[in-house]
Amino acid sequence: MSILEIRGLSFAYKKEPVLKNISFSVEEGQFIGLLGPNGGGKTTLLRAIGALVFVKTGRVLIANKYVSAIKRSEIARLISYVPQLSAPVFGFTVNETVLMGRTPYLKGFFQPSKQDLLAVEQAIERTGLSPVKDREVSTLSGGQYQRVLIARALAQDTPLLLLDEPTAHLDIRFQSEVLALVKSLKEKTIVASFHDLALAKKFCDRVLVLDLGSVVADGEPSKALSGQTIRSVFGIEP
Amino acid sequence: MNNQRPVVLFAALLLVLAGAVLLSLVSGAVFLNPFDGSPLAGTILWQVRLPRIILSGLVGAMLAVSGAVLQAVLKNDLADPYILGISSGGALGAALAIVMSLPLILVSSSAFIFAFAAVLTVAFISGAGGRRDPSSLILAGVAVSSFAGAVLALLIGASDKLRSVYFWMLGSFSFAGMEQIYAAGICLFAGLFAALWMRRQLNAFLFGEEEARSLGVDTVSARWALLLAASLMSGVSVAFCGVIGFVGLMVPHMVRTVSGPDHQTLIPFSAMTGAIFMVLADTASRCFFVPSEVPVGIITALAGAPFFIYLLVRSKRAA
Repeated sequence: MSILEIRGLSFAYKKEPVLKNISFSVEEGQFIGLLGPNGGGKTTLLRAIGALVFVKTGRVLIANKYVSAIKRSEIARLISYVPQLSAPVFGFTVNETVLMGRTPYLKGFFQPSKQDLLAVEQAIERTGLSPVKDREVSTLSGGQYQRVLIARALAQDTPLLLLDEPTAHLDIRFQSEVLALVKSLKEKTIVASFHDLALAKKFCDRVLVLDLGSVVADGEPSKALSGQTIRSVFGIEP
Repeated sequence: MNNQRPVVLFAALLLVLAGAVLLSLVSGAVFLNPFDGSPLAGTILWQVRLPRIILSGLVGAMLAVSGAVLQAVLKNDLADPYILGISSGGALGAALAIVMSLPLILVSSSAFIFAFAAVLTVAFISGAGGRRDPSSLILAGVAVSSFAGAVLALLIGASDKLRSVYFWMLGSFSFAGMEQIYAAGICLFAGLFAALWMRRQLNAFLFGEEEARSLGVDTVSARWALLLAASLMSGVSVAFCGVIGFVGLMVPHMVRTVSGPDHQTLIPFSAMTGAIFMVLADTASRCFFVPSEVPVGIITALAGAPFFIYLLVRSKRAA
């Protein structure tokens, strides 16, 4: 069953189209990599899938529901999102930040339930943050904070996880570490953007190459990233 | 944070508030012993000073909570009802209603509507959405504030009725009555309820618009609701007590350094601290130049303007 389906999606922030008539569907449990040069539309596509921008043309279906037709809190129970550039909010601990992943499940004056706290605890454990869970986030390294954001998305307990350049600001050592962590989340469908072809090749089940807002290649990394695609899209010799 | 700590802090704040109220009761043009028993002292204590203390506490709490809400929703450390021109907008609204001799409820409603219009204008000018530049928000506030202030000055020039309440504009609690106390109490309750009900949304706003949305916050409707609550509290404060600046700026910052950024504690603690601060500021305004009074807005500006500069310098260093 396809968990995510994109049909004829086009998008423009102002006049210039950033995404042009994109259609594809994603099977449950896949790890999809979005590749392409800067300005190719990777981040915008992730934003459109997560309904973080207002999509006028085309449809996004998640678990057979139109994202545009459901409430924000319900979307957030289906899709979690790890942004690329996120400044830690000064003063919150790791535990408090991860607990914010439960926002779509909590309402008004109600306190977090046992189930909420359990989800937070498990997310912290899986991301290896238990030793620092009471530390203030602003004292963490970039790699640790990236894991906090992933933990927050895990606590959100969604079938689909979107990651925007999860390795962009990390040392090489942390890049593989974070991706191995993401790869280990077998029960989730993952769509992540990359600027590093080798990393995408190593970790993704399937890659989509975006150039000038269109999908120019789609498939298993070894096939989709053919010499010709790399030459024409990235302008480098493979 | 330890589960006991917020409770202890809240109890401590209650004690300090009680102390401030007591201090404010006995001090003024003359020192009065609340247990004196003489009828004249009783009248001054319970019918002149006490209503004024209660109103100043309510207004302090409203201004502090609306500052905390604005700082989160607009994601700007320098946000405050006064700095963003919300107070000036509210003052203009109140003055218009006063010129037309409308009853108190309409004066406060008009202040609320104009305050809301001011905050919407400021948010719109400085660019709605997540990519707001911090300084443009402040500049938009200056523009709106100056414009509303200019229209207000024209009104004062044209109306004798307003000239007589000119003192009100600079912030004063000398018009405290039961009617104002009830209305302020209801508005504070409504504002506090909204801010606490939406405390998770307020927390999510701290991460920016996009992340807040991905955490399931309908940022558009949440922003409307929270800006309405902030305008209600600051607009009504202005209608009763004039323009009192910087309380909404200072108090949430002080509270944050003690109990952190979580709005679950920030909102109630800001309300308490705002009340304490305002009761003390009003006491000072009554005692400094006996027998005359200094407008309380001048007292808060004396403390608040340097604090604003400190925050500005700090944010410049961080950038």
